[in-house]
Amino acid sequence: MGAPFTSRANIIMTTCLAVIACVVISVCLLWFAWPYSDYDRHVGWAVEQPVPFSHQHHVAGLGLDCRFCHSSVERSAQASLPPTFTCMTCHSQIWTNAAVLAAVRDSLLRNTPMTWQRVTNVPDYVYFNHSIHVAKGVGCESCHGNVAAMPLTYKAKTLTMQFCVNCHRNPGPNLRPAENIFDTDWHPGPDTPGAPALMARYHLGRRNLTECSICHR
Amino acid sequence: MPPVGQAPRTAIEMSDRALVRHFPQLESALSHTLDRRRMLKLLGLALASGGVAGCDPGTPDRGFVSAVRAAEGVVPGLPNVYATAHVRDGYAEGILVTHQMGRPIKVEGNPGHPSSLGATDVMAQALIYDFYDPDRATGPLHKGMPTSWPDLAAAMQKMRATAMTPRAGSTHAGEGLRILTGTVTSPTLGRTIERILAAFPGAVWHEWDAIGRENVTRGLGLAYGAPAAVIVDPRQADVLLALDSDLLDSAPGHLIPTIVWPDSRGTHRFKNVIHRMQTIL
Ligand code: HEC
Ligand code: HEC
Ligand code: HEC
Ligand code: HEC
Ligand code: HEC
Repeated sequence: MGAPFTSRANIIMTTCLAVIACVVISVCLLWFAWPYSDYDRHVGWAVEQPVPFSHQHHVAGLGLDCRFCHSSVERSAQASLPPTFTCMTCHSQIWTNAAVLAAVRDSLLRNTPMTWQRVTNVPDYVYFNHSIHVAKGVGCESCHGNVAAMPLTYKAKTLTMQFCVNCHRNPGPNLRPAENIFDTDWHPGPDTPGAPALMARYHLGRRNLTECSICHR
Repeated sequence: MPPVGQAPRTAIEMSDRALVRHFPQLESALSHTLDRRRMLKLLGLALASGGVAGCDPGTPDRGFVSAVRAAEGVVPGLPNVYATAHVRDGYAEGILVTHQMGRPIKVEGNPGHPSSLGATDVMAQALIYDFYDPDRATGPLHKGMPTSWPDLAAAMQKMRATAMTPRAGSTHAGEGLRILTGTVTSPTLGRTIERILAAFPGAVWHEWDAIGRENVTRGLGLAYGAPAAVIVDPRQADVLLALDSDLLDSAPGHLIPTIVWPDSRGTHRFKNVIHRMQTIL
């Protein structure tokens, strides 16, 4: 009786083992990394809304300020979305018959609120507060991207914990003068104060902002 | 209500029929006795299902519901305060309710209201529970089943014609119409009910509270010869004698006496009188 395995069997065996190990390791890595990928977090996807609202038209085109619609962004944890009445201050006079605006008119007529789908989100176990960031010179763009150029609103940043902590470690380079906070296409010019000057202006750098309890309360 | 003395005071005194009527589930509960095995099985099940509850994916995000018109003075995300009144047995006390976009989170007394002066009682504090209690009434019931306000209005509209025509042998419209309420001290509600009674002279209005104050009202009527309400100022007293009264504890309208009573400490007219309250229940 000859040998049951030829000498090739050893090679086949080791390659098989190596392939299995590779597959297991890459599946594990993928399983870990997938939730942090832009694809899984729907970064860059336009979300379907009751009305195809365009920041591009209203902000870049008409020059409206963010606070006209997101009125509580400077005072509260929430930026809040505008009441129907705010839209109708203009749309009772312009585009009054447009079919895309039917949902807005219905809402005011029937006194039923509109429901917007969330674009940006952090999990419930993360505490986030808009007012402190606005007060300390962090622009909307740092977290929401260039909203004024978006025909339909989409999520621009992954918003992982790493993203938040990266800035909290050293906010300086991401700060801007108070008058540019709501400008989502702002670039530092030659006469913009440097990072240390801005840190001093906003009284930053005295606290450790990576303390877990700041975001996980 | 049957006279108190005649009702059986404990379950042991009840006849079997009365027991079944009072506790409909008692019989089936007693016929399934729990042995130790069954008990452990159920306990195990309870433990295991506690773990299953942890797998709940959480409430799905239902998006933002933005207001139709912005509520005045309300900043989304910041608590807001709203002044209202808590009415118990007809006694109103002013309260301030802190709320988050319409959802109440804390009740406090209203310092500007004469019957609160910034204080509340336990009942007012418990109002929050009243609001979130899943068992509280959320709307009208019809034969024990929930129904809607428009349905109720439609049903009352239909009954109106029947109620308007006097019954055989009677000249009054509205016979058979009964209105049952708690003690009503709201002028608006009182006026509305009076208008109904004027339109339906045959109708009857019953006021009833689980723990009523009718004996107090009757006693005051006897004492003063006319219906009266007493506003107590215990600062005028050196010694308070309370007979079967919880004036400084939990009677409706007790807040102000409770707050001002200590003010008169050490100011009494007779040197040898100790400022105190005697209660006989
Ligand atoms: C005319 C009113 C209006 C103005 C002005 C406006 N927005 Fe909006 N914004 C909306 C509405 C309506 C929505 C919800 C629909 C959507 O997501 O597109 C929204 C959504 C958003 C969202 C996504 C919120 C989410 O769901 O997570 C961001 C971020 C945002 N706005 C940022 C801005 C910034 C930054 C500015 C100023 C540059 C601005 N908006 C100006 C009306 C406005
Ligand atoms: C300052 C006035 C003003 C306000 C406030 C306003 N709009 Fe408009 N909106 C306009 C004008 C002007 C146009 C026409 C834009 C164009 O054609 O360039 C427009 C166009 C639109 C359109 C048509 C599609 C498009 O973008 O061209 C939609 C949808 C719309 N608005 C939704 C809204 C909603 C929702 C709100 C409330 C959050 C709102 N608008 C608030 C002025 C306003
Ligand atoms: C430091 C990052 C950061 C900055 C800066 C920031 N946002 Fe946000 N924003 C977020 C996050 C995170 C959420 C999601 C909050 C949540 O899930 O509860 C959000 C949500 C929103 C929403 C949705 C409504 C709400 O209240 O949750 C709007 C609108 C919005 N931001 C507008 C703005 C505007 C306008 C600015 C600039 C003034 C701004 N944001 C600046 C991180 C930021
Ligand atoms: C571009 C920079 C930047 C980014 C990105 C950023 N932050 Fe901040 N954050 C700041 C600054 C600056 C402060 C102000 C710190 C201070 O007042 O000392 C702050 C303060 C805070 C505070 C309040 C701290 C306190 O106790 O006063 C919270 C909560 C917070 N950030 C959460 C977050 C979360 C969650 C994210 C991610 C979604 C995030 N931040 C992303 C810059 C940033
Ligand atoms: C600047 C804000 C911030 C600080 C500080 C912070 N976290 Fe987080 N953390 C976040 C955010 C945002 C998320 C949600 C990320 C996501 O959506 O996956 C998160 C998620 C997590 C998670 C869930 C796992 C995950 O990655 O999804 C853990 C665990 C966690 N944080 C632990 C910590 C610990 C431990 C510290 C202190 C060393 C800390 N965090 C400090 C913002 C913060």
